[in-house]
Amino acid sequence: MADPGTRARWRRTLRNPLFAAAALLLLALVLAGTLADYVAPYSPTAVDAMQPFRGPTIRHLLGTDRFGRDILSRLIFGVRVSLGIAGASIAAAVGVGALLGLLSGLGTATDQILGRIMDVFFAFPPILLAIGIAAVLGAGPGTAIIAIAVVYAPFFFRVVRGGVLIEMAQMYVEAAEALGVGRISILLRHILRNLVSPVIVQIAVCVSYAILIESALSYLGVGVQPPTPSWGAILNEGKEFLALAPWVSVFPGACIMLTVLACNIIGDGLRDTLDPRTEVA
Amino acid sequence: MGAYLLRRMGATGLTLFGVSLLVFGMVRLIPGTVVEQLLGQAAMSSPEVLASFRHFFGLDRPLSVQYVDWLAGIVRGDFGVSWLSGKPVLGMFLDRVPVSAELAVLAVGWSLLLGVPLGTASAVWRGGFRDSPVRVGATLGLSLPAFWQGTVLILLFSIYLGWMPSLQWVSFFRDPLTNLTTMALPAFTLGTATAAMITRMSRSSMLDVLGREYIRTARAKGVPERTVTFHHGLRNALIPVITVAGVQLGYIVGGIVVVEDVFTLPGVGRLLLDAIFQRDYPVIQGVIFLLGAIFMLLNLAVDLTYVVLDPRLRRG
Repeated sequence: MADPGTRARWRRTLRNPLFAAAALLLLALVLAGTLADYVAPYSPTAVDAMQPFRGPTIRHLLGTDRFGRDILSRLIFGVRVSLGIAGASIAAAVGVGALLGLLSGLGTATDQILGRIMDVFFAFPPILLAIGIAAVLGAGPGTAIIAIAVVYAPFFFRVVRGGVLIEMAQMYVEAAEALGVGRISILLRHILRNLVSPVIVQIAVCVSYAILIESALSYLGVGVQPPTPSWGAILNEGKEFLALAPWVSVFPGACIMLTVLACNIIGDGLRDTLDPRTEVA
Repeated sequence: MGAYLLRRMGATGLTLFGVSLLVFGMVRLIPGTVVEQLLGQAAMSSPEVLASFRHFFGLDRPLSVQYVDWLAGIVRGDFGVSWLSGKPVLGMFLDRVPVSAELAVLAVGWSLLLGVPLGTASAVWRGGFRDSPVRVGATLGLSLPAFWQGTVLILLFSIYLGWMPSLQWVSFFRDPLTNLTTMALPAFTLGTATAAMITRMSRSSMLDVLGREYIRTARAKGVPERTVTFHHGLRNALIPVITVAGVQLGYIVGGIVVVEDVFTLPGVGRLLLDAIFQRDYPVIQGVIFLLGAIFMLLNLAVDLTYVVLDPRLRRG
């Protein structure tokens, strides 16, 4: 991290206005979600029978839904649900995937077995696997977290396992072994720190997909259920009344898109900074 | 080539076996779920009813017996029958395939037709004023949730512009025009993320290739720039693009479920969702297994294309 090349790349990334804007947007979202109780103009579940399907006005900046609930407030509280589930599921995926990846990188026998098991998970299209898991476990936020974690754990497994194998073949490992340092200690003291960058890059890529999958699950009705305000679920609620009240569906979708866009821009920036070999955009 | 093919097919077979275990386990390992959810409160109050149902569906046998039975059925092409309609699962699936297959082919088709030229051009224009819109557009395309894009398109076309494509799906062979007008928006929606991905990949792959020594050699020899771009550059740049297209097939197969829901198309995705809401487990199990298997076979096909295009891999 301290080498001048990396520092120069960090400086370039942080000066990129697009990266800065994306980071600010994400920060604002996290803040709004955390402080939702103070920031949101109304309660996300407060029903106002006199105000159903009101278009955007000063009173309700983004309009109301069929129960007269304030869309803006629901979207602000929805940050907690959507980003919370995405964050929790990726954290779980990193934990499980990295642990298994380390195990796999160490021993040949475990590597064979774990590799085959991961192949099975890779054999499913991500959203299909998530839908299948959600269908079995029943709809709910916990289900969404488990489903997305199961989908993305193999990605972290692959990154960590590959990294361990590459590092294990390095001269410094051989030197440490010759000096009598144990395998576990080499792993913990030398190899883990070299895996931080690729794992961060992978997290940046997976978070945006996690947000998309969570909202898709909730949209399809197998993720978070109403009245909990998940962006995907709000969009789904508005679907039936598209002609009458398009704002109910349009605004949550815009929220999802902007958040995912911000994550993608940050992900691109992190990848160019931490892993310059695979520069894409 | 032959050895590679065999090894690759062996690995696919093994993974397919794992997929069958996972799909079977997913539905069965959760104790009691199936029958209790099907019967609801009635089962809780009467153990006899519960037992007779478990026996009827064969759920009182050991898991291993149930699994072998199910697997043997699959080998014979028997995926069981729907608990609701009593129809064979495979038949229900095959009835829905034409809709989904057409949707997938149209989506992959337009995304390749747009993505490869756009990405290549963007690489050739690198840093110019025409490069930026392509890059921004591609990042935007990757960030669009399909269900929202579809919803907005419906809003725009059907509600504001009054353009009403037929809601009833008709086969292309019966009425091509109606079929294509029905499929246009769904295929556009399904292919957007893939088009964005292919554009990005074509661009980076082309940039990589254009920086190679042999391109410089070709230019030094006086080969016309057009030939350098297309003959020396693009041909080599396409190989990684095909890999990405293969990975994207996964998103297409998964995206079908979402897009068919948005546009209410009667494909396999709709079949799966209906089965999920009705807790029709044999259908859920069968459809997920079949979609997984189709995705794996498509990947195998992509890998083989890759070998045909890049002879170096045949030795590997």
